[in-house]
Amino acid sequence: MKEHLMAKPEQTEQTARPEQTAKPEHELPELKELAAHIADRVWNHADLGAIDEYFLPHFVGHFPGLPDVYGPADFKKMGADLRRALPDLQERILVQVQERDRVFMQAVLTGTHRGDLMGIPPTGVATVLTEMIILRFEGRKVAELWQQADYMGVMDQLGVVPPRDAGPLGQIAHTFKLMGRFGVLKAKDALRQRSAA
Amino acid sequence: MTSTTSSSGQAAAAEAVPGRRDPRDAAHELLERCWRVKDVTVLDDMADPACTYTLPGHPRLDNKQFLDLMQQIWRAKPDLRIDLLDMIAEGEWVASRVRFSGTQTGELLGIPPTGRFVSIDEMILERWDEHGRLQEFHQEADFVGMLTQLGVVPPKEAGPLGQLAHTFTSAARFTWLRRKARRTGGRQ
Repeated sequence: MKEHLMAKPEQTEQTARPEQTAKPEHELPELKELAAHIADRVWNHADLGAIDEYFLPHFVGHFPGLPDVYGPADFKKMGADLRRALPDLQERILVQVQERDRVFMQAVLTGTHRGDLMGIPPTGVATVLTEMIILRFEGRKVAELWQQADYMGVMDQLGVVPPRDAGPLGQIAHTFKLMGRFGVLKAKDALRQRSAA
Repeated sequence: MTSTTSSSGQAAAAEAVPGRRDPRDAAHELLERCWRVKDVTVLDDMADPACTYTLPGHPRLDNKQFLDLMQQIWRAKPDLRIDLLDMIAEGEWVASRVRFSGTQTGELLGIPPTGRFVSIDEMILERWDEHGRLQEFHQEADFVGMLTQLGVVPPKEAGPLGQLAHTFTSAARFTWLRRKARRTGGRQ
């Protein structure tokens, strides 16, 4: 926990009285809306320019299973990769919780798997990813982001993870089948790209 | 406990209703009793009978099922520790970021005892009613990271061939670990 977070003004949305607060606090009640606005532009309107607009140059992103992401450019690249993998990507926010400079969001991402996703060739499967993220703002801009999400669930939807009760032998059989299936999918994808060209 | 406890001014702000327990305090107590004290009565005391637990990879659980899962984790990782990294509270909601670590010395989710030390980050969202009872519990966790650390899932860069080789190695290792656990009378 970073100490400087604790040193920030202590009023929250419910009690903040605009006429009594200085400018930085006055802005805080809108952070939830701002967070929703950024998410809507990036994920529902494929507007990666919102990342340039709202993410600080010293932005750090903490995603499970990846090295930390530094700066808006790398985060934009992640966004573009995800959009290629799931071109019809949409995000729906379920719950928002705000305290001072941090906004927590529980959300659901849906999209059809049409491009390479985590090394998995397109399957055409409709995927659903539940996620929780925390945004830390400095002023009106995002300085830090933490995410946890059910990537395992997506791998399961894509048929990558062997069934829970498969056991070691079932896992081997599963992996063989998977590689065969990946081979077919990769060939199909290559064919599709060639005919599109 | 990591120092995320708010100052009194902040707690008062989050807790505007007189006589109502600050959900933040309840969240701290829940964490403490579930994972440090390992108190089997914690959900009887703190959760509404209709409370639901939404965890990835499971159907929605009730109190009894969540207690069972918790006890399985206590057995599988006797040296379990939990660090609270952040807590965000507003109204009836409390969101936390936590880190679970421990050595897997018992069977966990079908994985035989690996003896490996595992550390995973999680986020938890809780809803507390006006009587200070838990109504909803949601969790997301880095299970891929956990399985990678346990040696179940190959490293990301392995690719399909590496994965196949890895599955063979894991299968052989698991068979060996299961036999060892049986020989030493380890937990099933």
